[in-house]
This record gives sequence, structure tokens and C-alpha cells, in this order.
Amino acid sequence: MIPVALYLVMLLLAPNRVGNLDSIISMLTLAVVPTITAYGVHFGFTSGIMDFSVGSRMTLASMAGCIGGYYFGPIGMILGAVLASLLLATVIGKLFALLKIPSFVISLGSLMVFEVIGERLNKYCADVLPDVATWQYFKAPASMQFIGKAPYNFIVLILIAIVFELVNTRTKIANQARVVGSDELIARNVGIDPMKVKFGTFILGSVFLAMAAVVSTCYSSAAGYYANMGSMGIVFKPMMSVIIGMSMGRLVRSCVGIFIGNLCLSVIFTGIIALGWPDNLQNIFLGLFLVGVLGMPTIQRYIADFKRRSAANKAHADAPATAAKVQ
Amino acid sequence: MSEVKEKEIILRAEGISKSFGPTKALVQVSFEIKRGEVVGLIGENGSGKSTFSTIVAGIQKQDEGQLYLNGEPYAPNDITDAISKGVAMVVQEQGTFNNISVAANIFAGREQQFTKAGLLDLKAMNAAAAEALDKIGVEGIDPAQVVNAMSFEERKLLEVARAECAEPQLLIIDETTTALGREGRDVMYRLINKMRRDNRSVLFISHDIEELMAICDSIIVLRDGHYIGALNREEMTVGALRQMMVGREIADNFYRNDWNGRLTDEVALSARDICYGPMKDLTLDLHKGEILGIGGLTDCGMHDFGKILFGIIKPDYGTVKLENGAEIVNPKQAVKQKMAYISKNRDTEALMSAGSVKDNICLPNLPKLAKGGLISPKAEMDLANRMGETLSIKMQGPKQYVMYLSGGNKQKVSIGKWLASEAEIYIFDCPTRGIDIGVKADIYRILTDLKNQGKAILMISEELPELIGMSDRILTFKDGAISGEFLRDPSVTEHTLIDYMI
Amino acid sequence: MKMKKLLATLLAGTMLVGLLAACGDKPGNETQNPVETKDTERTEPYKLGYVDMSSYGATFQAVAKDLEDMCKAANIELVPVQIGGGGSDGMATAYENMINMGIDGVLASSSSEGQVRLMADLFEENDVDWFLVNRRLSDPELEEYVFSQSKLVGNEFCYEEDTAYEVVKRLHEDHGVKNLAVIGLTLGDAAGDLRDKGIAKACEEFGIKMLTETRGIVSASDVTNAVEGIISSYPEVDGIFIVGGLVTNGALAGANQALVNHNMQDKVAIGMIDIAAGMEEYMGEGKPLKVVAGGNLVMDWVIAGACMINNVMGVNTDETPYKLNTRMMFITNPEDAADYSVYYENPNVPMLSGEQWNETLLGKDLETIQAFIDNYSLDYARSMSK
Repeated sequence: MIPVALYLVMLLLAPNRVGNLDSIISMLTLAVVPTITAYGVHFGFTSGIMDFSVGSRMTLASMAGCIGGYYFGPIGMILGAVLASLLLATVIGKLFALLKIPSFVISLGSLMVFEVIGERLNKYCADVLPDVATWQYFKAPASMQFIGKAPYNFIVLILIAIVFELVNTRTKIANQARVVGSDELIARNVGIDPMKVKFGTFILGSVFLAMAAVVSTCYSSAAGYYANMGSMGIVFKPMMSVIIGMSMGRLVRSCVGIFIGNLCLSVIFTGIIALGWPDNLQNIFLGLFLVGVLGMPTIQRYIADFKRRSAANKAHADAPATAAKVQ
Repeated sequence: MSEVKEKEIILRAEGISKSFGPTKALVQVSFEIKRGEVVGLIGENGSGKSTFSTIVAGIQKQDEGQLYLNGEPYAPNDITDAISKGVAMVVQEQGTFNNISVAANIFAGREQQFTKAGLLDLKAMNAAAAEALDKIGVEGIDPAQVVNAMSFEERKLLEVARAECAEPQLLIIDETTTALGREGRDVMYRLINKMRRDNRSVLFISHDIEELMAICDSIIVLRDGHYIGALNREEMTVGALRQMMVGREIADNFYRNDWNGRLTDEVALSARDICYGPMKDLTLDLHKGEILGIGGLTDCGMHDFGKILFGIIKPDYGTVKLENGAEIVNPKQAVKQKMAYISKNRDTEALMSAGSVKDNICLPNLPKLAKGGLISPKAEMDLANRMGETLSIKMQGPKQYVMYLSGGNKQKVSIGKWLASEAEIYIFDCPTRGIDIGVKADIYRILTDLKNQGKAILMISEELPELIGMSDRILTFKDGAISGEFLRDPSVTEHTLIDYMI
Repeated sequence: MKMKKLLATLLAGTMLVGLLAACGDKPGNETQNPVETKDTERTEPYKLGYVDMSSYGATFQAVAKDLEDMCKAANIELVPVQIGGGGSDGMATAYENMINMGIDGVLASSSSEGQVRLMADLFEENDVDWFLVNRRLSDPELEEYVFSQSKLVGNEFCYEEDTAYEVVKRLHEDHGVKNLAVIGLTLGDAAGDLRDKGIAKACEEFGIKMLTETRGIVSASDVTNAVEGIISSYPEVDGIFIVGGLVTNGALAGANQALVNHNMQDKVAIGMIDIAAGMEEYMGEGKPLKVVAGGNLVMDWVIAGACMINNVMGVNTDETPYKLNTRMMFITNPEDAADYSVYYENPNVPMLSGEQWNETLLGKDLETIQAFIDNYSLDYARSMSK
């Protein structure tokens, strides 16, 4: 209901701009890549990992995908991205398990290294494989670019969402990720090794991140490298949607909740463009939206408290207290 | 000896020792548990009960000594290893996980048994969870529901089901019943009896001597990490156990020894027409120099009532006023008006576990300690030391973290911070919950002292002997209303109160 | 200051070890005579420091190569210092290091306008000549302060506002753009704010409707998202201005892809500031990219280098501190676009040879230098490299 309500608000504000099929498809399209990314972020996040390296890993996966795609076509692209993503997740997961320092520190350190690797790889490939890369970005194989377009992107999203839901609800690792995220100490007390589970979430998430990387590259036809921690921003919107998805956990399945979260963000994004409002308003909207969604249970409680108090006041006004005073 | 041969020994501990830094938690502890036996383990806070049980359950390892399970050397690598060898434990603290289902909680860490081709068979897992709950006699819990909204008691029962699911030969229950209400306790007792019937064993840890005496075949006493002795059913008496635990004789009645329940005319606090949850138009007065006991079933609303008086919960209707006419609307104002509240949930609501004894004691007293806006570290230390002495808090020093103190000493810290603030009105919610008998006596002494100083005390308690033994007046709560009022009198018995509570 | 120097010396220690270990440069210039300097008692070559950003890519490698050639020709010792981290802190440390290495002059750039005052003070206190590269001072008070410094040789910059204005003008006049959407730089970015002014001015002057703007673009797919949003909300859009093509790698590809998805490649004209790799792919008949305004970063540094050398030689010293205005180039066809990466910002194809530097810029007056800047074009570069 929330994205529909948001859409209606936008429709009210700019009926000519968002009231067409193109707009709706555009909003849905915008939600595809962050949703798949969020599926990849979800497992780690629920187990208590704060991972900022997601964007840099996706970038390297995209690059590997472009190289794979150049030599071996679609299968090569997917395999390249998945293998690179798995490799990077293994590296960061092992580092995390070995060094036992907070995940955000490990992920920030890894991000810096991965960004440099990305830049060097990009430059190197621009020299030796000019058909695959310019010195700024990798080019998605032309044969794969349809994946980024409607309706194929939606089909891919639905397939990945089904897999995600299956994995999230029906696998040991996803269950144990939630257990570890809930209380690591108790998890240990029931015989779960939290480090092993967290490592598992890195690996599991990396497969989804690889798919997000493939779809993203096909969608924009390019995968550019990042410098100066620029890739960090990629994870924020998916992370927001994971939080929104989790807060909607009682109402809808996680895969849908996360998509709804991203759809809301894309409605806001497109809406702001459609309204022609200055860009900084977008951040204000996004911030308020996040606070609003997460604060909803508390707001509901306040409303319930208010209603209860009003009813009690009314009852006492109608019939003055008759309860006997006990002394 | 012949009996020992008859009844196979399931667990034998030989010379178990364990130290934490300079603290010797266990010193050469040796005893046996026989198959089909329910053994109680009792001792003061810090006597080594939990350390011993966690070693047996595989949570930590001993420094010295050897355990034998069914005659074989037993040294579990971790808790899973212990479970696989037939030893399971229900821990004292909350042990369930939020955001996952009842079934997933029961089988956390053992999902493998429901995994087919990499996927969990949720149907089978839910069915097994339902069966596990049924087995321990718990009804009305949907295995598929997420646990977040469940009560502490229901969650505790899930842990019991989790432990029982492993079909352990030895089940360790650590202080679990203190968290349970009547129904929960019945579930637990039924399970213990079933274990006994199945020729399995239970190591039952509790502070409640009467409870232990009622259900155990023998009771082992630990004191300061040493094995003191064991009493079998015929030898068990409250007095003997107390003496073994404390190392000195404690009078049978360690409550107040006067029966003077006369109230003063000075009302310190008045609650009028309080409506909240089950409470409907609750009205009462608390007098100066009075200990007013509040009793009732766990969910009768009395715990919330304590919070309402202190301003933590805003009632739907009604007022709480003090003698000077000030209306209590929030805790900050309550503190300013010299009120004190000692919560039932010590670790989460009464103390900063990750703070030092000094920080905890000084927190409500900082304005008093501050001179010209600056707080002197010396003044803080002095206050903490003074309270430590007054209340005989067993600690390494004021800088020790509260989380490393025993339950009884934690409670003394939470009382100490209010004593130092020189509060006039005290609200105690279950002041002796999970506390050993020695500290209990100390706390009753403090309550009596406060009363004699003319302070007003409202004591909410689930322990009827405590209510009868300490209160000048008892109010029983039932269905959100005051169902009875009893002035201090030797004729008031637990039965009298229960009749008004149920 | 002493404390500062002490700290800087410690910091410089590691840098020196790195430099000595990495470059292994031997004093091979001993046979050459130093250029005639203002300080006639001088026996050692003049040391010119600059922040070496070769690791950032081909453009800066080209800068390094050209500066090296030029200094060699003039027998000036070039002292490249690398920065440990980006931002103003990294720059400041680099300048402190240079001072402790005994430089006489520095080609100074700053990551923000606010940093320039501190730089001015630093160089003044340490008696170091400096040339402010590629930074227009928009704050008149600051400009006055900086230009009152005795050690400032000159300041070189291009007019961001005019460049943006020109792009919009060309989109309108040559390609009929009437409804423009802007993919902008982050608010608060000095260059971005000036470019925004230029866009606004052009829109007003030519009656172009500014439909919408979007910022905070991180990835190529963000650009695709933005263009998707623009197209779906504003079907009438006929022009898109990517204000900072270098800020997001793959921005152009991302924008193009959204147009391809909607079959609007020939309906929307794209204008852009900053040279993007492979831009020629998106130019030409039926393709959207119409105008690219490309700054020549190599030119910025080379001109600054030449001015500093001239200053050492005592040329144009009466006119210091002076201003030079570099101009962005406007690329409008795929051939030029392809040649840009060949002749500009290419370490393998220096702008000029050592001798050519001597002939063209060294010892020349300001008019000649400004004329060189104004006349420098792709055709000129093509002809010089032959």
C-alpha cells in the first residue's frame, strides 16, 4: 500500500508527469537492480554484518562478467560475475573470520583495495581488450543488454525473488543468520558457530550480488570503476530497503517487502524528477520516508495509547468514579 | 554402595576446579548423580552452581578434574557435543531468538535434521516443534508464529522444549522456575517427574529451598566454590540446608520479628482511579513508615502498577500524587521528589551491567556530588565505598563491572544507588527475586531499617511468605482490582492470600 | 612554524625513502648548465615541485611526461611528490613535504577554494614561488588577498560558467533543444555551481525550458535511472546536459542506454562537460551526443610549468602575479572525439617536444603564451605531432 500511496501523492502533485504507463514502468524498472542487490545484502545484514564493500565487489563482478561475456557469451558473463563475486566474498569473509574485527572496518578496508583493483583492471583491460573496456568503464556484451530491459528485467527479478524467498525461508544458513543476528551469545550456546554462519552469509549473498551486477551492467550497458570510496554509496538504498523489508516482515514476505521498499524509493526518485524539484529534496524525502516507515509501529502505539486514554477519560466523565477507596 | 550399584551413576565429577583470575569459582568439587534421580543444587550467589553446570553442559571447561558420563570420561567440546552425548541445559537467562519462529527456535542449530536437498522441510519442523511442545505439556503455542510477541515465560518454555527435544539423559535446569508463573512451573515439574519415570536424571538449580525439597531426591550444597555436602530426602530440612549454604545458623524466621502493623496518619503517596491494562480505578494510599505489600498473580498488573507509581508508564486514567501535592508524571520528576524504584528486571531495567559499581551507585546522585558543575572522582569513590560497606556488597572494588557481580550483590547495588540518594518513597518490585538466602536476609534488614526511619515502602512480590513476613499491610490484586486488604497479623497465611488472588 | 616543519620533516622522511628507492634517479644533469636565474649566486638547479597524480590515470601521466620534458629542456629540477590520500589534507601534506625537500617553486592546485588562503600563507612564509593551477577564485576578497602575495607568480583557470553556457547555446542553436534536463554535480561543488549559473543564463537567454535536474549520481546505472525518469516524466525532453562526465565513469554509456531502451537516441541531444572515454561511439548521425566541452588538463599544467620556468628566467616578472585564461574545447564530431584521446592527455604523445617547448613558450611574453592557449586545437596538435 505504501508505494501506491506514495504514487498517488506524486500523481496528485504532478498528474501529467507520472500518470502514464511509461512512468510506472520506469519506476518498476528503477527498483529492479537495488532489489536484487538488497537480496544479496539481506543475509549478512540479518546476521549483524554491516558491509560497505558491496558496491566495490559488485563492480569487480561486473567487470569479470563483461570479460566472461566477451569470450563465452551470456553464460560466460553470469559465470564470470558469480565466480568473481564468490572469490571476493571468500576473501572478505575469511578476513572477517580470521581477524575478528568489526565487519564495517573490514568492509571499508576491503572496499578501498577492491576499488584500486577495479581501477587497475579497467585500465589494463582498456589497453589489452579495447572491445571490452574503455579507460573509464567496461562495456556490457551487446548480446546481453536485453536483460536490463523490460520485460526481461522483471522476469529475471521474479526468478531471483523466488530463489531468494526459497533460500531465505527454507535453508539452514538463512535461519542461522537470523539466529546469530538475534543473539550471538545464545547462538553459541545452542551450538551454532557465529563466525561460520557469517562467512556463509557472505558467500550466499555474493551470488545475489553477482546477479545484481549482471543486471545492472546490462541495464546501463556499462560498468565503471570507482575511486575514493565512491562505491560505498551503492549499498545505502538496498540497505534501506532491507530495513523497510524487515519492518514489514509481519505483513508480507521478505522478498516482497524488500521490493516494496525499493519501489517506494524509486517512486520518490522518479517523482522528484517529475516534479522538477531540486535534487536535495530527494534526500529529505528519502530520509523522512525511512524514519516514517521505521517509526510506524511506535506511531501506531502512540495512537493506540491516545485512543485508550481518551476512552478512559470519556468513561470517567460519563460516570464519575464509583470505585471504593481502599484504606 | 549396593544402592549405587543398583542405580547406575550417570554423572560423576572428580575434583573439578575452575578459576576466573584470582576468583576461585570451583575448588575440587566431587559428587555423583544417579540415573533416574532428580538432584537439587543449591548455594549462595557466587557459590559456583552456574559454573559447575555450564562445565557439565559444555559451555566452558574446567581447569582441573575429570567428569565421567555413564562411567566414561566426559569432556564436551561445546554445547552441541554435550547434547549429542546426552546432556542438555536450560539456562538462567533468556535463550530464545527474536525474528524467527517457535519451531526455528526449538531447532536452532539442529536444522540439519529437517533438511532435504538443501532445503528445510518447514512442515516437518513445525510438526516436530508441536510434538516437542506437546511432550512437555505446553498447549496453545503455534510453532509457526514468530516469537517476538511471546512472554518471557512462554519463551522459557520453548527453551525447555528445545532441551527436551534432544532427549537428554541428564537435563540441567538453571534457575528457570524463578522466571515462571504457576502454569510454567507446573509444566517444568511435570517434565522433571517424567524424566524421573523414564530413568533419566535432572540437575535442578534453584534458590527456592521449599521448591527443591518438594521435587528433589537429594540436594547438593555448594559454598564459595566448595562441595559442602548432600542431603537425601530423609535428611532435608530448611534449617539444615540454610546452615550448610551460609555456614552459620540462620533463624527460621528471618523476616521482621514484630507484629506491629499500626499505620501512621501521614500519607506519603496517593494513587487515585488508576486505569491501565487490567487495572480499573485502582486507588490506594501509601503511608510513611509503612511497608505496603502488593501480591497477586504475575499478570494481575501489579508490576505495571509499580511503574505507574514511578511515572515510567503513563496510565490511561488516574493520578499519582505525593504528600506535597506534586503529581508524578515521569521518572525524572519522581527522582526529584525523592522516590526510588527497584525493578523486577534487574539486569535490563535497574542496572547498567556494563558500568562499574561506582557508576551505578553515583548515577542518580550526580547532582548531589557535583560542585560548581564538576564531579569529583574522589567524591564518587567515597560514595561507592560507603554504600559498599553499608550494604556489605561483595566486590573487588567500586570499579568492578556490575555484570561480574552475583545476583544478590547486583541487587544490593541497585538498592544502594537509591539509599545514597536519600529517597523517601521506595517501590520495590520483587526485591529478592533469584537471590540467595544470605543476601535475602540482608535485604529484609534494609527494608526494616528504612521503615524504621519513616520511609514509605511499597513492596510488590510474588513470594507470599515475604509479603506476610515483611508487610505492615498487604493488598491483593485480582482481575485489575484490589481484591483484599490484610493488616499485619500472625493469623494471615499463604492460603488466605491465595484465596484472594486466584 | 618550526613545529610544523619538524612534523613535516618526519612525514617527509618516509616519502624521501620511497622516492629514493623508487626512482633511483642519478644526477645525470651535471653536464648541463643551469638556466640563468634571477639569483645569480645560485649553483644548484631551481627545484620545481608539483603533486604527481600519475597513478590517477593517463591524463596525469601525460602531465608528468610533458612537465618532465619541459623542465629538462630548461634544466630545472622537477620534484614530483605523490599524495597519500585525496582531499585537502593530502594536498597540504604534499606541499609541506615539498618545502622540506627544499623546493624553490611549486605548481599548486587545490581541492577547494577555501584551501587557497592557507596555501598562500604557507608559500609566503617559506619563501616559495607558486603558480595556482586550474582554480578560479570566485570570492573577490580571497582573490584580492591571494593576488597581494609576493610569491604568487600567476593563476591559470578556465571559465566554467562560460563553458556551460556555450554547451547549452550550441545544443539550442545547432540541435534545436528547447526542453532541457540536467544531470548535475553535487550542490556546493565550486565548478558545479558555476556551471549551473551558466546553464541558467543560457536557458533564460534562449528561452529554453529547464525541465528538471538530478544529482548525487554514483554509478552508470544511476545515470540510466535518471534518464529513464526524465524520459518517462517529460516525453517532451529534447536535451540532456551531463554537467560532469568524469564524475561517474560510464555516465555517457548509461545515459545512452536509457535512450536506446526508449528508441529516443535521435530525439534527445546530449551535451556534456568533461571528456569521456569512448565518447566517439555516441556521436554522429542518429546518435545522441552532440557537444562535449573538454578541458585540457595537460594544458593547464604545462602552461603553469612554462610560466614558472619563465619566472625563474626572469621573464614576465614585472607582470606577476598575472592571470591566464585557458579555454575548454568543444568537440562536436566523432573524428575529433576519437582524436582527442590520441593527441590530448596521452602520455605516449607529448603535446610538444623539449625543443618545441623552448621555441614556443619558454622565454615568451604573456601575449604569446595566451595566443598559444587560444590557438591550441586538435588540428594544431595533429600538425605538431607529425
